[in-house]
Amino acid sequence: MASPDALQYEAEQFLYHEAALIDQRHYREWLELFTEDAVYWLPTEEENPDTGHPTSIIREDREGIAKRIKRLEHPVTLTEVPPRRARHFISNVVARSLGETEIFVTSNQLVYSFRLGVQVQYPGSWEHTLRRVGGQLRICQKKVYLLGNDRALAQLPVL
Amino acid sequence: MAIRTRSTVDSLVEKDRVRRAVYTDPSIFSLEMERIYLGSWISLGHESEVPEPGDFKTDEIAGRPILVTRHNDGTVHVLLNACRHRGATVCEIASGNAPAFKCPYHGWTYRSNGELAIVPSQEAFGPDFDRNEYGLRPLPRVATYRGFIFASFNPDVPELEEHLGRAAQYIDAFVDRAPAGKIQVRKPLKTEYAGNWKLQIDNFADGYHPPFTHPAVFGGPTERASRAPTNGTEASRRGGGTRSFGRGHSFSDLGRFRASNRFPEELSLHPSYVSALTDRFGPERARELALADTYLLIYPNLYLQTLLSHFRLVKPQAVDRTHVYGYPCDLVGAPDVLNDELARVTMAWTSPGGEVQVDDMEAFSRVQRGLRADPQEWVLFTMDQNEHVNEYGEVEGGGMGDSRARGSFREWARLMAEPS
Repeated sequence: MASPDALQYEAEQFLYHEAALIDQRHYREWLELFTEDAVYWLPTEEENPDTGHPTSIIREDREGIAKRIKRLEHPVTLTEVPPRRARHFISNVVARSLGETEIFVTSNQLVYSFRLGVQVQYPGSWEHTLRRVGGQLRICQKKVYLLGNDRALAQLPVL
Repeated sequence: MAIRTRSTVDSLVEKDRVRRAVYTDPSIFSLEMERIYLGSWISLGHESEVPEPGDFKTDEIAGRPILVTRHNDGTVHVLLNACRHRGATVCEIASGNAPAFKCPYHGWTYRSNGELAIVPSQEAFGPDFDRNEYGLRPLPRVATYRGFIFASFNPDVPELEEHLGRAAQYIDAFVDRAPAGKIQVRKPLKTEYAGNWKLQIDNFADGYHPPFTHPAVFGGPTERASRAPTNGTEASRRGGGTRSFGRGHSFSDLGRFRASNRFPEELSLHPSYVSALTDRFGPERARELALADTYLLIYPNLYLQTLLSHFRLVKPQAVDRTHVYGYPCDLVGAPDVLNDELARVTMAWTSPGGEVQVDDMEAFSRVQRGLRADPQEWVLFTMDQNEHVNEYGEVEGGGMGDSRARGSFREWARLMAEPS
């Protein structure tokens, strides 16, 4: 098992890498970061709504993420012409081991999104469950708790 | 622009076109709030949002804060969310359960039916002070239909059932699709766009835009021929088309033409689900309900999409800013696999992180910007003029839905010119 410092470094580098892929709109490479059983989840609640029938802003499997990317890359998707420009800022990263193969990483992130003369900020708490697959870290769950996720929102950038 | 008379309304709205100022002029928006949102019946969602005694949600009509509650005796109350003392809101939580509502300023405390229960230092208000006179004010009119809550600030609106008229049968169908005869809403998806509220209302009736606005989801214009009947007579004969009921309500029935690309037919026809519906309605009606692909607008702010079992509420915020809430509705008694997939598709359609409403919102904001180019120019609703009036006085049309939009603007003109 990696030392705490090495684990922390590895987790941070992974988050930076993932954020860069999204910000540069390398969506297919981003998709490759997810495991086959991955869940990408943006709840509408402040706390974890694991019980009952949660409504989610996004809750999708790898196939759903692939479909999302297909739409983003479609040549005449209205919301992407002209394209949205975004930058992730990442801080407060805490990583801990979950058994031999998984790492649970929490971070605060702030995404600046700019399109058609309007800049919007999306701050929140990110939770990644990462799994070591063939020597590479992969995302098996990514959960984003946006501040204000229970209010009316305009179209979200990829978070 | 002052529009206080029939003639000024007539200068804004003709039978198949509307001045662009109707979407951009703040004074027209103010008058809409007064005459339409405070003047007519407004939908406030569904009572399954507050299923248990003490459950509540906060809401708004035309910027006025409202509290919807379920009292201990099971009754639903729609109250002004404003303390009778100095006026503070007594609740600022979106939804929850509370035994009472305590004003944060001086502690006046109200029961969930609005009664004023506690006034700290009440004796200081003098011997004649009567708590019974200072309950939270109820809206003048409140009624439900199949669990849908409606309220009005206008005491003179007709009875709700008269207001809904024959459009009510499609609310019935929406609810009857649940084997238990009732729906249970999930929490709503909430979106905001930079455009006038009527852009969303027009869009609900617009069957013309999908291949252009949503090419990645529904296929582009070359991939999709117009298969729906294009005039009222043909629509009646073939069983599709549109209907305007009066009072602005309207619906489209597209079930036979494109249900399959909205939702998997085999799931809509899940055997245990169809069997449960058949027990209640017989095989023919059961199949019709299971596959119903109707789109109902209850003017001015409720839209029911039957096949995907969701409804939406339109909440105007300003002349150029609007919220739309999408509510997934579980069909009580249907298999979880069906309800979960209905909710999943509804999320994809109505969420700010989804794939359909986000394109519409982009179109709305582009329209709102473009409309400012010339407020005196017209917005056109001139497609599909081949309509006829049926035995109930309803306008039947076909094609892309402009017939419905024309019907909504007849109600708009009526309400704007003649309050109530």
